[in-house]
Amino acid sequence: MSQANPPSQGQGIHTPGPPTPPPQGQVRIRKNRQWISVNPKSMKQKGMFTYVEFTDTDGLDTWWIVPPQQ
Amino acid sequence: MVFNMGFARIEYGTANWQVSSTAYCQNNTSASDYGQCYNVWNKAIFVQSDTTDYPKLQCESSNTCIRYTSNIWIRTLATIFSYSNKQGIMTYFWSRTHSSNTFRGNVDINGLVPIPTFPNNDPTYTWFLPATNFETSSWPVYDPVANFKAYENPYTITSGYVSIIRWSGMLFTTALNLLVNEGNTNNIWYAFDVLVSWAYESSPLAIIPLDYNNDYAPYSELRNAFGYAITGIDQPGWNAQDMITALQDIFPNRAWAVYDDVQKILYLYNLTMDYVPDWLINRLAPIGVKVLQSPSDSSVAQAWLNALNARNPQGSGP
Repeated sequence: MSQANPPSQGQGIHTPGPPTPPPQGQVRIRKNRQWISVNPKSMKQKGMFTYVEFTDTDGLDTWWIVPPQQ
Repeated sequence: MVFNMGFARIEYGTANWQVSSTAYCQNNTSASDYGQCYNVWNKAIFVQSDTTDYPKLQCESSNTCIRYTSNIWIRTLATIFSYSNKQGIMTYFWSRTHSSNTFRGNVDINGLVPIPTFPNNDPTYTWFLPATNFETSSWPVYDPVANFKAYENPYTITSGYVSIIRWSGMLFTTALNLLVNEGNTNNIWYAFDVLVSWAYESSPLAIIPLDYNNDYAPYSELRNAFGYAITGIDQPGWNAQDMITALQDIFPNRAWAVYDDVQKILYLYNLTMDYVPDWLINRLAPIGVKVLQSPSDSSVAQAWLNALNARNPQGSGP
């Protein structure tokens, strides 16, 4: 008899655990569905959010929202 | 998100953050202070077509009024939004007026109460308002079917009348103007403030305060790329890149921003993060902010911020 809801075999969307702490002096951000570490030029609190400034791969000066750092 | 909410506060002489019972103008031609306006917020409106006897009113000298020298029935005071091929849905407005003339026999004839409605509509007989035969003796009027209320003189002012109306419902329109029925009357004044809210399809936004007549309407590229709104924010388009291209072509020397609601990225042009107000960040909650071009002249960026703050006053006024 098969189970209606068999235990997960690990298929489906991969949900990694919390990110590892960023290297010294870097900030982790969530971008394009993955965690990346950036070298911050500066940090800024704007309204309810914190943003980190860095130069993105497109060459543009970019501010990205910073999730709580683990 | 399916819909965004737009909301505008429009102030000519009075402000909703205070009951300015002393805001009025003098239209008694025998008075020594004829043509003067008192205690107004921004500017009130004065209609005097006689430029021979009255070449300049006192309120013009004191910058307390906008003078019109034409006598007309329906005056268009502002374009609240003009969305070209997109549609907005007005859901609410509240309009308060201090004026030399009050409601006459019904809700809005010569009431001088500005009403947001679609262009060229006669605000006297706007179909979404109730029948126009409510007598002033029965104020305040409440028609639950039309979700409409009107009050005459809920408080007294130094000189003149107070008229307040409130409506809620749904009005589907691609453009919303602020119209007032002046009744083809000369030597009148009115000071008012209006709150209006509307909904529109969630879209990328062009964030640039524009003058509708001079900066927006003459440019088909802009109209093809995004709609206009008096707030400078609620300007939905179809494609963020098209909006950036059109704005770069038309306004290469001004500051503006485009919000891509799919990528959740706010693009800045002739702006830096320092000039983006916190309230705009809280409203849009962008994931990323990208600087397409930094301002070579900070006054350009500051002008954008000042205009945006002026059109979207936060809190309870200065």
